[in-house]
Amino acid sequence: MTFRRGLIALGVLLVASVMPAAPPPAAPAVGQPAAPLHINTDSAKKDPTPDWRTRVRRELAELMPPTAPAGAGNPVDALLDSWRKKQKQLLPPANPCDDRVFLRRASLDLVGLLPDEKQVEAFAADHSPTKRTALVQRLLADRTAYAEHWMTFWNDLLRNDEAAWIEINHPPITAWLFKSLSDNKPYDLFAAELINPGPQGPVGFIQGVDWKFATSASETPPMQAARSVAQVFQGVNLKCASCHNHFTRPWKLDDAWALAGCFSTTPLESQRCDRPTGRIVGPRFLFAGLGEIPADVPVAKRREVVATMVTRPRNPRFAKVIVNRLFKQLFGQGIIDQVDDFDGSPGFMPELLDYLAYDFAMHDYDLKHTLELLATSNAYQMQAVATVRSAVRDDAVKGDAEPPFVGLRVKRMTAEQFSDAVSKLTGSWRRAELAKAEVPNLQPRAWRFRDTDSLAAALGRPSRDVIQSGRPDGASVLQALELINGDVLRDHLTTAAQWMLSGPLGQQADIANVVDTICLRAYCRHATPAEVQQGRELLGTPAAAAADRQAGWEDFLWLVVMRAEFQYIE
Amino acid sequence: MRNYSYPGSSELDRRHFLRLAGMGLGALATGGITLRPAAAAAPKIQPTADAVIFVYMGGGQAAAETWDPKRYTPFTAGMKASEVYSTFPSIPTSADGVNISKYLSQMAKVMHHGAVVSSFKPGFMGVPIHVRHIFHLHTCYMPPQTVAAPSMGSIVARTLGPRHPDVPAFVDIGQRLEFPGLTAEIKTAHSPGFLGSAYGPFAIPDPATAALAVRPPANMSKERFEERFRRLEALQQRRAAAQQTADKRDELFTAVEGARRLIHSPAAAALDLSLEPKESYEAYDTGRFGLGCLLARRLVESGVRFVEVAYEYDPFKNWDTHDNGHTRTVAMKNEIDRPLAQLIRDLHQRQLLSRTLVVVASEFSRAMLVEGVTDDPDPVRREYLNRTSVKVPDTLADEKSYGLHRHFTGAGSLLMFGGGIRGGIRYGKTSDEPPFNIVEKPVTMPDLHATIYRALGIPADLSYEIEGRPFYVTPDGKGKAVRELFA
Repeated sequence: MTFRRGLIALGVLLVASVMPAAPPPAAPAVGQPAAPLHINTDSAKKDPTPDWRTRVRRELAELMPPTAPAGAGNPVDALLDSWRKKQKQLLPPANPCDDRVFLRRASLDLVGLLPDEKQVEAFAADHSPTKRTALVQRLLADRTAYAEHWMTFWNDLLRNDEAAWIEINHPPITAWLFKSLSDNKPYDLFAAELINPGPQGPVGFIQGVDWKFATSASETPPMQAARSVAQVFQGVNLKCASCHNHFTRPWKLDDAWALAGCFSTTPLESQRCDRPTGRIVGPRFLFAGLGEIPADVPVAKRREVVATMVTRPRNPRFAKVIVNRLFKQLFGQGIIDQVDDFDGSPGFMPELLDYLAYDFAMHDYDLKHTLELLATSNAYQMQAVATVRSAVRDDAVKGDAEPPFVGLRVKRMTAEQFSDAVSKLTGSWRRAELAKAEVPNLQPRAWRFRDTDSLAAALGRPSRDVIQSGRPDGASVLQALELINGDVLRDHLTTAAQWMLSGPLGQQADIANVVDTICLRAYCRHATPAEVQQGRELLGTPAAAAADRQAGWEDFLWLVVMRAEFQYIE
Repeated sequence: MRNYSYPGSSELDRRHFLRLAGMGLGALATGGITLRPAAAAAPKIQPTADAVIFVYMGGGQAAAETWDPKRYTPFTAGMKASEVYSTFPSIPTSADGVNISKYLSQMAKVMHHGAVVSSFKPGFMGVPIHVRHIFHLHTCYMPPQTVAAPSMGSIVARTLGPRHPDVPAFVDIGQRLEFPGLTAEIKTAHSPGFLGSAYGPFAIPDPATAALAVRPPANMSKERFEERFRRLEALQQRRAAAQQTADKRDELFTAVEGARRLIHSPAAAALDLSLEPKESYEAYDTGRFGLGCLLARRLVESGVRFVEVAYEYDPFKNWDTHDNGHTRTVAMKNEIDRPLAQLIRDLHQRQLLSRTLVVVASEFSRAMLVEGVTDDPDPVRREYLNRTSVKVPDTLADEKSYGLHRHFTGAGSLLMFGGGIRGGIRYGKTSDEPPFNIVEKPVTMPDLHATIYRALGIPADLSYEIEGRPFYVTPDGKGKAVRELFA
């Protein structure tokens, strides 16, 4: 079976993105019967919904997979190598990053935390050739740390927020989300529960915001549900089409309303810019060929049908959209960089997207499987590219053109990663009012802070009244001011210095060793002579005056966390 | 996101400027203050203002009690609520034929410099909830929006930048964004939205302590603060020197450098109100709002492009007068009258008024009996509003009920001074019968924004791209600047 044949069969995953001009995009033809599937029996045992899983696997078996690239290595690398060879311009050769960079990167990317000095030393001392793979597996196996890190990503994407809004009072889905992530719920089930939650499920997502009183027709809860499902799971932006036919994408006004009809208790008449059109449309799904949605059944039943249509293997978008998001989280750039819009660019390498999507489906939609596949690739183990990418992206890139893929990019820490990193570095966890959700009583990591404080706002924690699928990674003067003299970081460092001075590090007379420990925690490397020198000047020995030491430790910690090496994931 | 179609202030120039700033060239920061005009390269719209001071009266300021007085109906126990028009007599001003409400005697002396717009029309959003109208006033868009809409200050900051390279473009005075009971909606109204935090407001909730924003943290000496920078530089430069090409990580260092320049910039000195001569300080000092006006003047002098001064929105307080309207309004007028007039006088005296647009606005007005608008087509909503809004007794037993206590969105008043605006006029007209609806020349929210943008040389259909579509600074680019308001 050739790679090409596989691709044709997998047209499933391609049709809508390469031929966006025919709405509603036809569902893909069913591929030829494929070879027997490799079924991961471990997860089969755990799967709480055997009927669902059986049906999904049967459907997957009808699709022909893209042929795995030749070679024994990680398929991601094989595909990227074949892509690289085809580039007109030779890319600068990438060099593998060293262990400490990898340890820090993988820890921050997968569980959002810095490793401690013991882990750094142990990793350096480990001479096993598979230690990086083992590290990735160990991180992903830490259910709680993994869930806590990814809460930030999912809260943004599912606009789950417990801040005090007057008008936004949809029930938070925090507890469900946390449990789903720590259980590593198969992603198709995860999505299906969000789309069709049932009374005890995560109703907040699909319910949306029932804005009090008059709003535009495009903000009714059924239309919000349609927009959210389309954007989050299908890479379809229906915002424009909820008012009028989209100007540059294939989506028509009635496509949006027909999907909204799936979530409405009553038949919906489409409205063009708040004017009724006289047409009752839908209920109908975005893509044809995935089944029909009965109009004369309760809305819960319709949601159930939509959930199946969104998540079933023959859906062109479902798996591709999420693996692309994961790719972007790790590499700092998506295969399709506009992660919410699959109707424009096919991505810098559609074959890679297809492979990842199919592989993801074949592993029962296991998010951690794909994260492991990506994080153990050679591509993820290269030195990061730090070239400046303008915040105003289209200075260089026009229209749907994909920004050139140059390799894994240096990423800025999120507001939550930064706060947690300072906490982990110092052992002093910040206190703030927490979201009320019933999650285990753990160290208060920053994702749980109910409100966005001024530092978090400056570092880009968004207001979640709209879906947010990424964080800004630039630096600005206002941000720097907050870091330089803002209350939030100052208070954190004051408490942290007190805490550390009363702990084992504060008692040590060997300042070089203290500095070394702090550098191992902050940067995963040993201290440089310059840093030791700064430490000697600032930290003082246990014999020094307490007030001087307090100030000196605050200053030293500030220096440590203000370095780019701290705030960026290299 | 990209600059979509703006032909005015050359983006090329601006990027060039940013790049220079990004390289940390201190040269831009040194020497005398050279303020950049509103639009550098030949713009299609000739700007008439280089800076804006947007004075926001939080909570819904009653037009009939301030800038658009109606027949004075003094309080008598037992009077009918329907008999209440204005609870103040009107007074003449320095502008012929323009009367305003009593207790605004200082403002009455400067009205020849400005225009009253009596026919401001707040948006219709069904139920007049403050947070919605505050969002609308600040962004020109009615919530909810499918993308995060930027506030006017952020749009101006993004489009024109500051007038001096080291100072912030947008400073937001007087509105606390973090205090218990206040909602996230207030933050979104003051946010840079999709433009990103770099264009967000430099927030000064309390002008009296503004200088702290650019000073070392509490309990830290200036020497220690400076020492931190020196040490950081020593550690950082080692790494930066090794890099030959533009490195993303240097953005952080550049930002820190920028913050440090800001700390030593004219704006930093402007933030320190203790540097203001005593006499002048006292002329403004009626409290937080008064000092906010003083700070606004100092910031504009230092090169800030857009300053908002809020008479803070605080639910059921300030202009949100749900009871004791008359008494509370007297107190608030005493607080705003002197500093606002002094601001106009000072700007004029320093020859800044001609290039500085001062706008005074509130999210909506207030009426005695009407909640929302009189012509709401929806009977269910009318019933709801009457049931849920503040109860107005048929007859007023005591002065507690004397005042305009309901949210009225049928008409509101604005003031505009300087920046090319014609002085001494009243624009638009409202009925002399309650609830004082607009009878002539309505100025909608898009029109108000378009007028402010026009003064700055920014077309109302300037747009920024987000998610592949243009986001216009006024909805669909259709705001119409009110030409008659310009001299």
